Amino acid sequence: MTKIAAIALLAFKTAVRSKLFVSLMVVLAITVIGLPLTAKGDGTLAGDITILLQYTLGLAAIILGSVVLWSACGTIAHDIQEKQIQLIVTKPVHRYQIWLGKWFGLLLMSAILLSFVGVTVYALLCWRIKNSHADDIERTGVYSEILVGRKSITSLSESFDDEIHQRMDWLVENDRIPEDMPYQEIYTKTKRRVLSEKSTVAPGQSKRWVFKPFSCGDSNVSVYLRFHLVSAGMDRKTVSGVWLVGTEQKPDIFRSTMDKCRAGSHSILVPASAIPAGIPTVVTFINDAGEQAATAMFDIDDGLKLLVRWSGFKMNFLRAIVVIFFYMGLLSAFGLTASAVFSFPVAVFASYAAVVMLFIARFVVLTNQPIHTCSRCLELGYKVSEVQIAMHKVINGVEYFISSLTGYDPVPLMVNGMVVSWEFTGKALFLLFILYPFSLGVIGVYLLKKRELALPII
Amino acid sequence: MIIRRIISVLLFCCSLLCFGLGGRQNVALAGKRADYGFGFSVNLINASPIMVFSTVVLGGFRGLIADVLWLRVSYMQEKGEYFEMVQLSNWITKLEPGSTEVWAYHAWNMAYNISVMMSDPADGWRWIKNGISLLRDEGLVYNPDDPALYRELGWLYQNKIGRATGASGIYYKQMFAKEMKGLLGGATLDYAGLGAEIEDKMRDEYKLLPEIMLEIDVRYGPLDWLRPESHAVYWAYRGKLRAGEKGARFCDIMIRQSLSMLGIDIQEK
Repeated sequence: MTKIAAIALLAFKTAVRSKLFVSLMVVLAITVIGLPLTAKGDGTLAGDITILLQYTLGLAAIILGSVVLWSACGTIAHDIQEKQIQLIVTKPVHRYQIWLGKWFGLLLMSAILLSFVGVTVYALLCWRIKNSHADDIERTGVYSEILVGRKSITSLSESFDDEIHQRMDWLVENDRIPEDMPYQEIYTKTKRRVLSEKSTVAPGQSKRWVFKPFSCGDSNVSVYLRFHLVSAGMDRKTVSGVWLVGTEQKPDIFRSTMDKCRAGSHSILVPASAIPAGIPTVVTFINDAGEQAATAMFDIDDGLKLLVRWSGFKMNFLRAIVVIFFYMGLLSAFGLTASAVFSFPVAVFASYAAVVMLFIARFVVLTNQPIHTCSRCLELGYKVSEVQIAMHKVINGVEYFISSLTGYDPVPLMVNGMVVSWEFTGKALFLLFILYPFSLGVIGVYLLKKRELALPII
Repeated sequence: MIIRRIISVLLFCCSLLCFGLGGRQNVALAGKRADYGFGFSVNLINASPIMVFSTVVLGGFRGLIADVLWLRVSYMQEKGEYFEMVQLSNWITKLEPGSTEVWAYHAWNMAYNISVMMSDPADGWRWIKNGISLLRDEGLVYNPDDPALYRELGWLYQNKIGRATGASGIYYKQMFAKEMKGLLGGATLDYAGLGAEIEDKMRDEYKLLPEIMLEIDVRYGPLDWLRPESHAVYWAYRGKLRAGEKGARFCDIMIRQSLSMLGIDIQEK
């Protein structure tokens, strides 16, 4: 352990001596302090806070991540190039201790810089709120919708598979489908059509959503009912109606009138007393009847949610910073492994190329369509080849891998006032800080062991 | 060794030749870009160092960055999240500062598309002001000789505020009149009695030049400056002063329409 600590301290000292640490601190200070001063929100306190959190933390993480990756690529590669590694490997130090020592050194640097970013952003946030001219209503809105950690509870999903297949049967029987249309496309389009119909509430009609039992924790806690109305093409009619929250037996424990609501995301404050403990919560929307009434269309991708306060902002912010730190750990491990096998320029090129490719691959896998191998599609004459199934599985695997790497960005959660939960942090810890760095470490140590560290000079 | 040196000299000569040819091509290309009104060859007036940096250093990559930001604008708008719109629009317009269409689109998007999504008229009014501010405080600063931008700004006053109907329309007109009354003190202006502080605020914050307003009042008025149509006349008039024969026509039309909305007979003037 002493050996690892000594190498870590040496790696950290080298970073500080090379002025990287100080330069990075200056760049981060300029970014974190300068960006919010120049960035413009939409003129509201909520807009300013969102911009401050999203842009400063996001940009600071990108800058820090890039530099950490760069430094990691140079750590072992420079030691080999400048032959300093010969002084270490001739001592009784195992290669894994070298790798771990370097990694901890980089982590120490990241931790200090990230703490600096976190403290500065939090201080700026407090300063911005204190010096804002916003009224009490706006401030309360910011504290209850952004500076909070809320858990999102979605309604129980209903299965419409039978209805989708019935609709498809009808389309096939009536020759409404072009012969060359793939099965996936028919299924996807029919499914969206059915879901759209199920998310539409005509004037005078109502729709119910059922949520599984959950606890609000405290009876004083407020719950937000969030829904997303969509506009039917150019028709921008407003929707009016009544929202009811309660149970199957008593669906109107809480009642709220919605007047002339336009398309977009909306929230309604629901008292915790309206949420029954231990039994499912039922939310009902009754659309207004009459000539002026408009059809309410709810977004099928962004369904109805109940947002419950789960934690305070300080802890949420802290967990978000910790998750960003885990990302730094992963990037350091990746850079170190690259530097164990390549020279510095090649390691930098390979690492950055891999990161860029990863981000591009995120968009490529979005095109992955589900494959249907059910008996119904065989009956309809749609066959899927083994190659297609195999390719689909490969892409699914890639998709899973990519989402496990990129799916732990805490900034969007925090900006929307959603909780960065302990569960989320724990998963990020396991994947980004333990599993992937460990795997990379094993590869890195193996390659370092195999690498010729003292080539004869001719 | 000698062969290596000869190759080096040859390569050096080749690179010089390439630079020369590239330079010759660049002159022609820059001319064409200026003719079509594209890119960084457009001479920006009042450009800040950041603007010069973004237009010159980023070069052709500006377009790509603007595209990415534009995609984000569309994505955020689709999701109904408008917090970033002002900043994103600001960046996009800074990347394409010489393009009238880009300025006009983003101002229109905020004033028309986003404002109508707001349930509260106060929020809608804020977005209209964001759209006006983008054109008046930035677009016209960098493109003071572009009559189309004056027309677009005038259109926001004439159409978006002046012709808005319903409860929101009444609110917008009330808020506009309240703001102008706070600034000017009343519907008509006492040009001789304007204090230095008010005049500075008019010039710096609202970009209202008293000498032009006086000219308009003498020519067409006196106008009721608490009404948005008068401001449409003002901006169209300023556009007309900057425009050539072709650009003056649509400014003239806007002046006529706005005066008509104010109940002033243009034939008499």
